[in-house]
Amino acid sequence: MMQRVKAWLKDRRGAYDLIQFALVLPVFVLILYGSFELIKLVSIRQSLESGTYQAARYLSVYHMYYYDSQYNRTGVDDVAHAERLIWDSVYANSYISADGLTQLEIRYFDGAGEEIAPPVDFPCPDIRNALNEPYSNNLIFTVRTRLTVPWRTSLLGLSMGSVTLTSSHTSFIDCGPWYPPPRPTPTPRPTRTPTVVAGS
Amino acid sequence: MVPVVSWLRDRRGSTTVQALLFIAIFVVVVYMSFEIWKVVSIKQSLHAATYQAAKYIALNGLKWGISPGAWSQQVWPFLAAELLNNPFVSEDMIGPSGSNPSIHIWLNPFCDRTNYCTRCQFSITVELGYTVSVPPRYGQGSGARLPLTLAQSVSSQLQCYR
Repeated sequence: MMQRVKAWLKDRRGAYDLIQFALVLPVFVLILYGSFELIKLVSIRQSLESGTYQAARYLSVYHMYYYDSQYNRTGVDDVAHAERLIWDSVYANSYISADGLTQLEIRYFDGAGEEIAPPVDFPCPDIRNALNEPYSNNLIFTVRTRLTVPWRTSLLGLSMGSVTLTSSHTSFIDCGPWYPPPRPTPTPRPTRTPTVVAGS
Repeated sequence: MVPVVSWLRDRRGSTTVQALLFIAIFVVVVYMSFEIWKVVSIKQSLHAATYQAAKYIALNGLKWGISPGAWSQQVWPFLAAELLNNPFVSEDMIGPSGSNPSIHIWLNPFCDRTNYCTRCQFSITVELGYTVSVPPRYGQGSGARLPLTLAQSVSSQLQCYR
């Protein structure tokens, strides 16, 4: 028995290929698994990016004058709608399940980097009337989102912890096309009153 | 001479040598794909930023008259803010206003300055300087820094009030 084992150990036929295969296989499996894991994360990041962009775009537009057919303010909650755009975009991704506990944090910042309340119903008439207004930090805002992936990533059983993806988009408060104020209408020249020649 | 010949014939450790060669190439490929990913990501941010800038000029440009110079000054903060949203863009990459990224605005020379509704097309080109670190190639002691200019242009026209 020992003889056979020794003979088998001494036999070097095929050893080169076998060892090379054994060395390469785990690395190959690791790369394959890792690339699939990466594809999932990149895909979710793209969804988050798209949602954040849509929310920034939605919030940048002036909603004060959105009325229904009876000219009543529709009472649409703009913040809820903007954030719904982000959630919808994330849930449209097949790697994220609506049942899973996805942590999504949405924050808003102004041009100076200070955290602000969601920019809705901003005073557009004021902004529009401020002629030759210099650049103001209040005119731009950033929507910043952080999504914690609902599964814990692992690399062949080795836990890599939870992954947090971030995305932010900056937009400006858009009050519609600004146009030069109308020129003051020239005061009508006094028309010459026909002179009445007395005694004619 | 004889020891050299015997060393050349000695095949022990050939797998190790082969593995080392492949690992070196593999590391460089992984590193460069990460570098390329960074560039593509910055290019995407540059597109988003340039698009915002063009939109801003189209809607609000007339506040500062028909003056590409003033428009560049106005949109620079938007561009910088949107670019800095990208984690691969650092504060020190963005230079003082106007240097990096640089903004070039072309305005149709036939733009009618009294009636901005006609022929006032413009295009904004933003150029962002970026350096890619290239690992050392054979025979080089250290890696090279490859300067790269990422450019993006977006065309639009002044929106007139009708």
